Amino acid sequence: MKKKWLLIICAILFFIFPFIIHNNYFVHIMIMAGINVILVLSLNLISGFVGQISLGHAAFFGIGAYASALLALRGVPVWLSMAASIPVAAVFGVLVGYPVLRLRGHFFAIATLGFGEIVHLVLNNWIDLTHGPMGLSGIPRPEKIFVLDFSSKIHYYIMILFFVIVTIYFSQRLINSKVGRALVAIRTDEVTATAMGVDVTYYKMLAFTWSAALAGFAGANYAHFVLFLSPETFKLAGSINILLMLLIGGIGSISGAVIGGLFITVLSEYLRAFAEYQMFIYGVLIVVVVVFAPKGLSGLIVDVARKVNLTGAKKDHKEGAKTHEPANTAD
Amino acid sequence: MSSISEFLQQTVNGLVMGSSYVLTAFGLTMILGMLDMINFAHGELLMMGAFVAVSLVIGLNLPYLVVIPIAIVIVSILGVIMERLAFRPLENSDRVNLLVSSLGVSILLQNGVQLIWGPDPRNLPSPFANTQFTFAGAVLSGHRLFVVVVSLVLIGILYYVIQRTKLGIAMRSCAFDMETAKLMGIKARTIIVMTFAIGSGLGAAAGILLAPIFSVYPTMGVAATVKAFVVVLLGGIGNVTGAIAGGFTLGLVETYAAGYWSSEYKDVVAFLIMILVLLFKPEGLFGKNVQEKV
Repeated sequence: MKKKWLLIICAILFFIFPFIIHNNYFVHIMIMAGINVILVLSLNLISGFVGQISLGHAAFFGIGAYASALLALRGVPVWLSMAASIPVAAVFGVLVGYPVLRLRGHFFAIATLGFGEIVHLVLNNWIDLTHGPMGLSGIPRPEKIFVLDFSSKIHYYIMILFFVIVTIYFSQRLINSKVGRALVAIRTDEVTATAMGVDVTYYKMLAFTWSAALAGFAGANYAHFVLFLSPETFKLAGSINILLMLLIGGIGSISGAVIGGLFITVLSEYLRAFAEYQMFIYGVLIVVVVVFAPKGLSGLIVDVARKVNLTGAKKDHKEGAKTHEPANTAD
Repeated sequence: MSSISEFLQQTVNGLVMGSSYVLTAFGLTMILGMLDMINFAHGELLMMGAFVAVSLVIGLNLPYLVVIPIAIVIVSILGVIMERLAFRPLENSDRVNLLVSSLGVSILLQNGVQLIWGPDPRNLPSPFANTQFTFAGAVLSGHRLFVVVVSLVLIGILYYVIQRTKLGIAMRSCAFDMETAKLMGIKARTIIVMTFAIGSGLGAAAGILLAPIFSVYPTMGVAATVKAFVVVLLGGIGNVTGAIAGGFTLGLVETYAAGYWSSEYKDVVAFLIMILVLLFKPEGLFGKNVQEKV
């Protein structure tokens, strides 16, 4: 109960902050953070819930972004093109997932890496369609609805925040559903899950397709916010960044995905002040976080909270030991 | 140019790429076999090798041939330090954390190098730059032949060490099954450190040998890592003979694809082959090997 109120207060704070702090730059960062949170939550569907580490997620992000931008540039209303990015990315999810999901562990990771690189190479070289390395420019913002005018950053922020909340709600509902339990069963032990009558192939495909679709939708949001796309954003480094957000936040946990997306986006902006040292410090921080907080930041917060709350410590400790591996999903 | 001489030229270029892939893939395949860990920082060792060589040749005016062994030793030490600081603290942790840690190291090295040497591409002069051989109508550059010869010698030594010496047998048994190897009295910790040292050194060798052909820049390791993964999968994880065969196969296929089809899409060919191998022969193209650990 306490936790529910905390979440509601957080949501309200996120809603009202741009009206209190009149700082367009900060709102800009928060929009990027929101897009990244959706993206990280989408990766969490396959890498967190099913336990398959994908190294090609930026490709789905890119497919969604390019699909929506290209449609909008050909005169399709932006709302329609953004909606279209979902099925387009989902179709690619099915096409890629069908062969690749048969692989496990490192093989899956490297196969998705290969897929991601292929998409990047195609975006870079199919000049007639994508303008190649020159990138796509002149992408329109979404049309006005009622009072919401998306040329204003605050209004765009509110739209992204709405999508983030919907995505969190969707992930939460999914993990607590029959499908979610099947996915966690597959993550824990695929063979046992099969023996218990879980249709492993079907559920993996489902999770992967949803994951791709959601990443594509995040891409569409990105395209109509930054208004310029170049293949550079969607190569391996992009996929790695998404994965780092998820792993640093805490894989397999929804709050971890949210914390990771928010933390890394804000952090990398903040590190800009250190100009050329930015990425170097980022690299050091990643190693430090993973060595000292192997369960990610959300795991670290839970551990610290347990230590501080000495009264419940003993009981929680036992529970903690049981749910120690990958992460706890029931947050 | 006749089609035969063109083919010959492509083949030499393919062997140059292939031999560098073999040298890079060795460290990656052994570590993946032993620690069940994807080391994303491996390509950065190749990049470090190239940069150390550039500073020794241009900064200290040392001859290229002297620089090669020095740079290899320096990068080997770096590889051991990397293992000690970023990977050993995580030896009992979830495997995915090792992957994250290696990503961190990769970002750190790329940007550390950029801080020291700057982002601009550099060139490493080779003493064989002006030598050329004409053979069956094809013009072959001296440096490319030098790369092929040195790589073949290194690969030969490596193959001998792995197949015949006690160290090699210990390395193979660790890659095959770490726990059993320990029970048989193999000092696993020492073997891991040795593997990091040798793997880093060979990666550096690839970087130094290729530096005069391609320019040297901080992000050059990323493509090397990715290509090395392809080689590892073609050859089978933990399989050195497979890595040798896989490396040359990839180098040749890629060069022929670039020469006879499209240079933009040559990497697509490489990845498609990799995905097809994963789907139809996930144990790798070449021989038996270590299976996926359950």
